[in-house]
Amino acid sequence: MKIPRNPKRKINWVPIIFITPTIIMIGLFFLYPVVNMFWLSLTNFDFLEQINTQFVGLHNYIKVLTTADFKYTLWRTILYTIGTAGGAFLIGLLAALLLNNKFKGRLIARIFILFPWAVPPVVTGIVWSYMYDYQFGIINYFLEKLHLIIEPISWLGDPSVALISVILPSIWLSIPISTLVMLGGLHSIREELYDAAAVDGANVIQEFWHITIPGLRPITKILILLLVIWSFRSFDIIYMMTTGGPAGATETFVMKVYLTAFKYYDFTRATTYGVITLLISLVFSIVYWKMLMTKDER
Amino acid sequence: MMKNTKQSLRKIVFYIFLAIVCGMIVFPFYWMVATSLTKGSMYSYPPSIFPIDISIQSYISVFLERPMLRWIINTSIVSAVVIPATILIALPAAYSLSRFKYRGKGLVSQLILVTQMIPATLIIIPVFLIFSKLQLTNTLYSLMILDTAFAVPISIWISKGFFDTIPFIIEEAAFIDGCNHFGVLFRIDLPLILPGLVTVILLTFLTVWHEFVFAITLVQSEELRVVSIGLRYFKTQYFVPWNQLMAAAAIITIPIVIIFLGLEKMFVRGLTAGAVIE
Repeated sequence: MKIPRNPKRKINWVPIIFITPTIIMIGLFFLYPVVNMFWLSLTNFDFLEQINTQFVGLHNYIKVLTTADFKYTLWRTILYTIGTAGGAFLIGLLAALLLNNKFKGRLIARIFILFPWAVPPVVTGIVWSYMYDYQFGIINYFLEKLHLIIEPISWLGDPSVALISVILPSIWLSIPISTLVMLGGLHSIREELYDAAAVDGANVIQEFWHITIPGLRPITKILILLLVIWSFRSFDIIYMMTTGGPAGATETFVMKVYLTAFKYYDFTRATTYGVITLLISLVFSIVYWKMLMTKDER
Repeated sequence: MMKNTKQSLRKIVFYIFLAIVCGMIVFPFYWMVATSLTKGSMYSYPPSIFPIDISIQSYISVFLERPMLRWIINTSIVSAVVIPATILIALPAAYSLSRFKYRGKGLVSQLILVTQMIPATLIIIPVFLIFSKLQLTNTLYSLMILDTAFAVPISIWISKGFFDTIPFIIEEAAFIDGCNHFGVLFRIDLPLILPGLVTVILLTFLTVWHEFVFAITLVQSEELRVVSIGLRYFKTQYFVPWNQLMAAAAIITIPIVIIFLGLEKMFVRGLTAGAVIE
């Protein structure tokens, strides 16, 4: 744009001054921590002594990667991520398809579906813990009433069901964003296509298959990427409900990083897991982007 | 006749699906409120789906027996610093990215994007080590600083989308009248991007109110706790006071729900406008 005070091309300091606080902030609270984390993972840093910290190369990585625990954590994280992202996507799609119709009470339904957005993750965790409660929980009550179970299930205490139990509230929390994005995708499909299909005598299923699905494809790719990244790093709900337990059954990567650092004060192991976590999400994002995005979508 | 039955069948199926989805979403919230309003419901089994014996006893006891008010005040103090700080940092940055061309601008935009990829649970480890050295742990300052850092990138995105929609001509008149960039930004542009600003304020407020990792790691003393972590300390090893917990959960959720519902239209518009232009 034209800047009246600088008719000749000189360095214009205004945009640089405006952006500087942001750059400092990103440097201090995002870049430095990542670099520092990487450095710590290559040393034998001890939180209690904090002297004689020495460079140990990839020692910590070898130690972490050769444990069976790593494999289990990876597997749990994958299950949790696919379950949460997949569930949130499917319900979001269904909700968006429903809301895209004209009907009485549409505004109320829309507000209901966006609702979990306003609920703090901590509250979500608490409320679901209550519903899952072994003694007083409403879920066990209903299942018993329907004769689906004979004895109450310890939803958060039994390692074989605990992961599913934390996936459900995680899905619940992601429904609003998923619905909103899919609704945006549905709005971007042009009305004429449906009119043309109706003239040609297509039924609802054909319309859905040949117009709606292809029309939603670009936005779906982005939404799934976002949902996967978010679920992969999800922390609050798991921490609130099980803190990684029982017997590590809900210990995903970020849980592992956090507990290793702040429960066991093993900062080198924690940062090693941290760097691995970052690398996994980075590699996944790049591969996903390269494989699924066509040239003009990038 | 055939067509009519078919259509009403479709309608029924539609409403069944709608009821299932809405029910699934609303039920946990309903159950929270219902439990918090029922007298002594934590001992009752089977649970009554509709509150029979309504009382606000749990709400009163949360304030009397727990430092609920302290938590709300602490969270409000943090928000009162983080919201203006975020606006003061993010709006000029967004203005800079929207209005000027300079070297390194692309890199800065990418950096802002990359911050969204880094989980707070990882950031907290190095930050905890530094803050311990600076003796910033166990203070509300530590939360103010970190919450601001986490609210800025997304706020820049959203407000940049709005700046991009303002035509240059509007600003040019102000420059001729001798206004500087800061003046143009806050006097001319700000009223024009009001939905964007509301979105930024609301999102920042949510960031503070929902923030959990930093608060649970950095704050130890009881009088410094914020609402998001306060709930964690209701449980004892032998006993969970579900009524009180649900009342406390309702207290910290309902104000946000009300704000959210009031501004829902503006909020959704703000988010999508930013996204489309990005």
